Amino acid sequence: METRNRILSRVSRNKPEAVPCPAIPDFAKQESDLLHRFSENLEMAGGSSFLVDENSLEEKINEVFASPESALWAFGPNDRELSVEELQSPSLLDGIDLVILNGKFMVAENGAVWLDETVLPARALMCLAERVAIVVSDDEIVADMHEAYSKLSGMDGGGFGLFLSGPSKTADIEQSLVLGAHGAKTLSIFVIKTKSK
Amino acid sequence: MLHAKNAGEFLKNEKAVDSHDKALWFVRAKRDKAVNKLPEWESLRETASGIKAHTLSRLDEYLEEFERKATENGIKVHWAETAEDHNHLVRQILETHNVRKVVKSKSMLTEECGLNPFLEASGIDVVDTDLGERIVQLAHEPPSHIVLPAIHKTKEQVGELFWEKMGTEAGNNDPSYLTGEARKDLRRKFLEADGAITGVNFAIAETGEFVVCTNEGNADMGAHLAKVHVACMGIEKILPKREHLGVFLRMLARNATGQAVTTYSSHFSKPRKGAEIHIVIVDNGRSKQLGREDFRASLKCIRCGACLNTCPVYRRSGGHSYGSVIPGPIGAILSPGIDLKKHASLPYASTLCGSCSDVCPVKIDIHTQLYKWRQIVAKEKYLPASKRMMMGGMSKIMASPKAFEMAGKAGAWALKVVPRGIVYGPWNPWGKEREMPEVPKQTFGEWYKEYEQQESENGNAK
Repeated sequence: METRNRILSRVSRNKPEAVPCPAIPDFAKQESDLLHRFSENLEMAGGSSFLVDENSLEEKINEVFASPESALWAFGPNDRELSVEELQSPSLLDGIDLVILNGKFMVAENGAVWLDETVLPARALMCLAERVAIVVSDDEIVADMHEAYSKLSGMDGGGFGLFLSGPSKTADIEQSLVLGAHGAKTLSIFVIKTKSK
Repeated sequence: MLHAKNAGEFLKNEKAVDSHDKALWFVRAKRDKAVNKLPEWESLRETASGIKAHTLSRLDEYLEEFERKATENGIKVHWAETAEDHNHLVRQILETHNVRKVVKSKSMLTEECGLNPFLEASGIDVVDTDLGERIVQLAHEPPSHIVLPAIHKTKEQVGELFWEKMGTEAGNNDPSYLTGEARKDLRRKFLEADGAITGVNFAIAETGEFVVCTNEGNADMGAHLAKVHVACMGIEKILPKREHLGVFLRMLARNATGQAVTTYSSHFSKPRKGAEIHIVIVDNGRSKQLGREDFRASLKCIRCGACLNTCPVYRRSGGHSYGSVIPGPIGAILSPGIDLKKHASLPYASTLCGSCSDVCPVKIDIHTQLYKWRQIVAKEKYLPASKRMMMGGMSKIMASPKAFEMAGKAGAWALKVVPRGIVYGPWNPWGKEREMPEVPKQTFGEWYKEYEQQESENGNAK
């Protein structure tokens, strides 16, 4: 407590005169074809996306991931509930080949998908599995990060959430890009068509 | 001069210097491409700089708000005044939970505090999990860049290191293979660890949450598996509101590596069930820096590393030459604030070209601050004697037109008649690796007199 107060009083003594906080400008948005921009940016980040009808989702997932060694659906009729032990020691979940999650929404400007604890039965799932698939509805999309945060403002996501953009990657050895540093080696987004064209 | 001397060492390996220079310029070029795609980039910079200026002007209030909200969320908040305080606090938290094995993701703050050797001396095993940091940890070196810690190493050097330390195939230097082997090795460490340490990119006063950005997912792997997560942050990491993340997350990765956003931008607000999150808020000289009017803007830094990538001196002298935890232009304005005598040479490790200020996402006037530090270094008499004498002599010569003319003539004469071995002797740093300029046939003064005479002969009145 003493340390805390000492730091805070020194900060208060040394801080400059108060200046107002600028408002975030209302940047003009490229509203057209958000989905196209999303999938382009996702590809740049090393991921891929597939536009599918809801009733052919499972078929498409089976086609993209031909016979995974082990698959865990976190939702839907195929879901497997995690055991108490797994929730307490998430390292027990290591070794899963494919995990299929629901995503909350997509961000067009950077190919990211927002996930939070309402769709993650265990936080570690999205980085432990070798391959990650995320299912999102095509109307859950925003243009940029400013819109993303205004969408998030009314959302209770539990105690954790993240923007995930592509598979885990590194370029720490001579700037050579390698996918699959620690987390998922591939990231596939399945976008469900809701709009009739 | 310390930096110049260290840079001289780095420059001995010409091939390594070339690849270092090229790799960083490649990153800078990617950054330009990403940034130029956003028409609002300059407006984002202006906004980001303004948000940071506002935050610093009410930092104490925002820190308190953050502490209150984080505590309400079930996060335990600790305060550390110095590096030693920080290290003791982290050890205490880990020991309370009987943690013997810790995985750590990248945090320049823990480098600043010297956390790894401290914990290791207490029998706690610390593994750096960012691939670049793991490489330098295995090599017993400090990181040479704040975003690309092993940028000074060639793949051959990494291949040999991994062969020696992890038993990878001898002679296999393929980055993909080496990364795969490190993945397997570190996966085991993640699963065994009982504690995780991460840095903090942004902490939000309004919500009490904090954001950690990585491309590898190593912060997430550590934090979501271990039973205790310690996040270490400097007091300047605060942002007032969640919506401000929209501005900063749009800029950070674009400016750092040219990506639209980092792969994992993880928002922690509550510990998961059965686990704990601790935050250590560290001052270590920052509140003092806040009081220095000329230098407080350096606290706006978001550690994107763009000023390093663009700096012609950094690219050709390597991060280790700076001898400070944060190298490059931003390090050269932060480090003298911590220890002026030790880091007196750093403000001179710059051409003052201003490229660092141009790429800075929060518009820190880096090159102006470098210039200001130079004034202080000179005033405090931390300049080496040779430079001080030369500067003193030069100022006398330049103050007198007669002396200046004579010195110019003497110099030109000397360059013509004095043997090479003497002109390029160790007393002339300007002649190191560089040819002295060719002596012109006449001085400007002589030429001007001749020109004036000709003009008057031609009848052109002035």
